[in-house]
Formats: sequence, structure tokens, C-alpha cells
Amino acid sequence: MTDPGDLFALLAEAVAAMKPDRVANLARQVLERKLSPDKAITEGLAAGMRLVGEKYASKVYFVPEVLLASKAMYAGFDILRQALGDEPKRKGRVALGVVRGDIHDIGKNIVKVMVEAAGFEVVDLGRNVPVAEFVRAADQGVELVGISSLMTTTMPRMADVVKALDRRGLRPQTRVVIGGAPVNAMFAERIGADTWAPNAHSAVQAIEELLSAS
Amino acid sequence: MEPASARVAALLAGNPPEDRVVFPMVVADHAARLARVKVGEAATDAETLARVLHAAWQRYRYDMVMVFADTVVEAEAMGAVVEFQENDNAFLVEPPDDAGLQSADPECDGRLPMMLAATRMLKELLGDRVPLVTSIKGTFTLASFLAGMERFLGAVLDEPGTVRRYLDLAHANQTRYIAAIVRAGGIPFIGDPVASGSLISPQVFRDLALPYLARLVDEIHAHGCWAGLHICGDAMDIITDMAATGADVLSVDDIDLAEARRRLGPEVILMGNVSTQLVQGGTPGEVGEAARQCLADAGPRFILSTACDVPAGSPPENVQAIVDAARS
Ligand code: B12
Repeated sequence: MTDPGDLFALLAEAVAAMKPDRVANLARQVLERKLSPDKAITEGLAAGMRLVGEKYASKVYFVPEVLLASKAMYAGFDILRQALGDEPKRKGRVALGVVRGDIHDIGKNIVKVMVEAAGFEVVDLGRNVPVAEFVRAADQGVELVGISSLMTTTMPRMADVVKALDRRGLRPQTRVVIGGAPVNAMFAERIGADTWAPNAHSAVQAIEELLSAS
Repeated sequence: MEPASARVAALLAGNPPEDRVVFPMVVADHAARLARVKVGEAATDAETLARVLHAAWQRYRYDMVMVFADTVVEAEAMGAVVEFQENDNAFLVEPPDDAGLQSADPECDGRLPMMLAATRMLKELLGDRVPLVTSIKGTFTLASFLAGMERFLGAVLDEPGTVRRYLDLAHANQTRYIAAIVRAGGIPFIGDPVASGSLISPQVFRDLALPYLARLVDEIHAHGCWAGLHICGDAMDIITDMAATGADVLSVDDIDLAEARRRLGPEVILMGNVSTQLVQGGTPGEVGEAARQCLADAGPRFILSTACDVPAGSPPENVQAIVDAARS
């Protein structure tokens, strides 16, 4: 019989290989053998998605591969979650959205998959999101707001979100991370965001750093 | 023949003209800003669209005119819900109702009649002096709009039946639209932004985008027109596949033109690719410099253009700098 560590490694592998059925099978084995579902999630599913993130960053995987791998991850997650009884422990709550006027949401969705896989709860605000909705999410207690914009024309709206959070007295306790192809460190600093990230992989790192520091 | 048409015809015939061919992709939004008209009006009213595109051409005197309102006209005509903005491009809010999804009638559904009317008006205004192209979406992109982006890209690898169904629906629609555009006097010009190297692997491009693009190109050729193909994002690893579609002009986003030329060989006509960020935010000097670099990198079989459509708020001097770079 495989040892638990190996089973988790197999889970990670099956996620990275984009095999929903195989992941579901392995997740059921975890439960049958009364292994820790928590560990199966972090050392299996999340570890698998980390591999996926790396493959995506190095252009071995593209968007369809990430989406299929995330299907595989959720296939396992849905099974393991039942064994956790209550909602699984989450590292924190994060809202993600694309600014008003911009419908480029593929990047945001990939960030969402990776951030969820890393153990955060994600409130998905969607795309074309008015400033007020970012503020409402912060009002309702998310610890971090992630803002995406893919167009130079809509980028200034990220600054509007930061300003509105400020005015509402929600800064600096609500953290702000920004991203999207035209965004860079200089822009993030200029608009008063806590940080930025160039891809989904580093987005997870950035969010983990910000939320563990607070 | 007038200069612009003569230049383009010579280029297509394999005799690159002394004077370089130039067309920064000015479409509805920038043209509307120039004419101090709301983008939302130019994108919905044929007369306005034709008028602002004509005025932009009169101002810059580039070698082509492109009828392009926004990326969603076909999906909208097939039933997608679209949101219009006063001063920005329209976008898709909801894909069409899936039950009963079928191709649109270009003469009466959504804004297709508007696009055709604008094409006819511009043909009247321009005659044979300037090649008139009308933008159509590539099959992969239209299919992704019909299914919903995430649903579609999420099905690409493991639900071939679903993906084919949307691709076939999209293709049927484009077949009718292409014929109608040609009747209106336009040359259909394909843009397939979702079949982008930034989104899908070269393998998926070859399996699902290329065969359908090749069919569109064949149909455009069968109508007696040349075919242009624009792909957004990083297309370097699919550049030879783009050529394999049979398109006569390959328009590319921000990629290294010298390397693209090396991979394609000297015959293929490339089009591109002054950075849209630079056009929007740079100085005329920087834009001119970038344009001359493109001319040098791509060789003679080339249409000097922008990496994607000219951002609405770009300073006119920057657009002019691209045209001037080709003329000097
Ligand atoms: C696909 C695409 C589209 C699709 C979008 C489909 C969708 N549902 O998202 C369609 C065809 C609909 C489209 C439409 C348009 N597009 Co477009 N599009 C693109 C394209 C080719 C790829 C974008 C993409 O999805 N990349 C892949 C994803 C995975 O990468 P990403 O978004 O960068 O995300 C990563 C990182 O940035 C980061 N990240 C992203 N968000 C966040 C958030 C946080 C918090 C963090 C930490 C990190 C992070 O992590 C992600 C994953 O690694 C780009 C070209 C390019 N070079 O980027 C143009 C591009 C973005 N589009 C552009 C334009 C102009 C348009 C249109 C206006 C065209 C028109 N005339 O109508 C419309 C926009 C309508 C609107 N109002 O929004 C321009 C923008 C130019 C500018 N002004 O800056 C671009 C740059 C093309 C160009 N070269 O000019 N487009």
C-alpha cells in the first residue's frame, strides 16, 4: 500500500496532469484510508496547482490547461471538503475584480484559481466592476482587494479604487494588490497600492506575504 | 489607379512599391475622438461611422480604411447581450441564449446591417482609390463569445464535441457575413484575438483555430478578395501556422518582427507592429523611431501598422508619425 506522502504526491501529479477523474479517485482513497483531508488539500491539490502555476509561467501550459487543471483540483476539493465537516479553515478572504470599463477577465480568473488553491477564500466581483463594489467588499470584511486591469485606458480606475478605500477609512488595513499586463511596480507605488504581481504565481506569493505580515 | 490602391496591389502582386504601404489601425473609437463624436454613436450609426472613418483617412492619408466598430458585432447579432459606453468600446455582458443558437442574417440582425451600410457608404466615398477592409472575427474568437469565454477555454482540451459545435455555428455565421461584406464593397479582414499565443498553445491553435481560419481565407479568396489575418498577443510560436491559413497579409501584435521575418522567409507579407502603448503615451519622435525600426526589421513585403487598433485617446501627432515614417 502506498504511504500517505506518496498518495498526496500522486494527487499533486494528477492535478498537474489535468485529470479530474483520477484526482477524484485519489481523493476518495484519502478518505477511505482516513488520512488527513487537510493535508491532502495542501500537500496534494494545492501543491499540484503550484506546479501548474510554474508550468503556466514558463509557457508550457496556457489558459485551457490551467482551467482543466483547476477542474481537476475542484473535483478533489469537493470530495475532501465533505470530510472537513465545517467549511475548511481558510487563510483569509480576498476580493478580486476587473475595473469598470474593462472586460478582460481571463487573467483575473487564473489568479482566482491559484489563490483559491493556495487556501484563501475568494470573493469574485467579476469584470467591469464599479469602484463602489470594491469598497463594499472591503466594508464587508475582506482582508485584501485584488484589482485587475488590462488596458492603459482603464488603469486609472485602479487609483480610483484605492482613493475610495482611503476615503472610507479602510486603508491601510484592507490590503491592495494590483495586476494586469500594463501594470508595474512604479504604477503600484504611485497609486498607493501595497504591491503588484506580474502573474498568478507571484500573485499568490504577494498575497501570502501581505496577509501573513498583518 | 490612385496611389494607395496601386501600392497595396503592387505589394500583393509581389512587387513591393518604393513607397511603403502604411495603415495604423485606426478604427471607430480613435476616429470618433478625432471627429469629437461619441464612440457609442460611431459604433451604432452607419452614417456616423462612415463619416468619422473617412475624416480620419482624410487627415492621415494612410493606405487603407478599416470598418470596425468593436469586437462584438457578430456575437451581438447572434443574440449576445452587449453594453454600450458613451466614450469607450462596447463589450459583451452575456453570451447568447444557447437554445436555438443559429447564424445571424447579416441584412437584418443586430448591427451587421449597420456595418454593411457603413461599408457601402465608404465604398462610395473612396471608390477604388483606397482598399476598404471590413473587420470580421475569426472563428475561434466568435465561438468563445458564443459559449462564454471561460466555458469555451475550459472545454477546449476535454470537450471536443462542445467546442466543435460552437466553432461550426461561428463558421456558418461568418460564411454569410463574408458574402454580405463583399457585396457591400468591402474586403473581409479577419481578427482572431482569442486565438492568441498569449491564451492558447500552438497545438490548440493548430487543432482548433487554424483549420477554421483556413476555411474563412478560402471563402474570402473565392469571392475574389485578398485575405488579411490579425492575431493579438504573442504569436511568435504560431507565426508559420498563421501563414499556413493561406492569408495574404499576416498582422501581428508586439513581437520581434526581425525574428518573425526570419521564421517566415522573405515572401510573406507581414503587417505591424508599433506598440499601442507607445502610440498612446509616447512622443512623435519615439513613435517615428519605432516605426522606422519596424520597416527595417520586416523587410520590403510589409505593411507598416500598429500592434493592435490605435487606442482611442492617442495623440494624432503620434498616428501621423507612423504614416510619415513610411513616406520619407
Ligand atoms: C484576449 C484579449 C481580449 C478578449 C478578452 C476576453 C476576456 N473575457 O478576457 C477580447 C477579444 C474580448 C478583447 C476585447 C478588447 N480588447 Co483585448 N486583448 C486580449 C489579449 C490578446 C490577451 C489578454 C489576456 O487575456 N491575456 C492572458 C492573461 C492570462 O494574462 P493577463 O490578463 O495579463 O493576466 C496575468 C497577469 O497580468 C496577472 N494579473 C492579471 N490580473 C491580475 C490581478 C491581480 C490582483 C494580480 C496580483 C495579478 C493579475 O496574472 C495573470 C495570470 O498570470 C490582449 C493582448 C495582450 N498583449 O495582453 C489584448 C488587449 C489587452 N486588448 C486590447 C483592446 C484595445 C481591446 C478592445 C478595446 C478592442 C476593441 N477595440 O474593442 C476590447 C476591450 C473591450 C473592453 N471594454 O474591455 C489592448 C489594450 C490596449 C490598451 N489600451 O492598453 C490589448 C493590450 C491589445 C493591444 N496590443 O493593443 N481582448
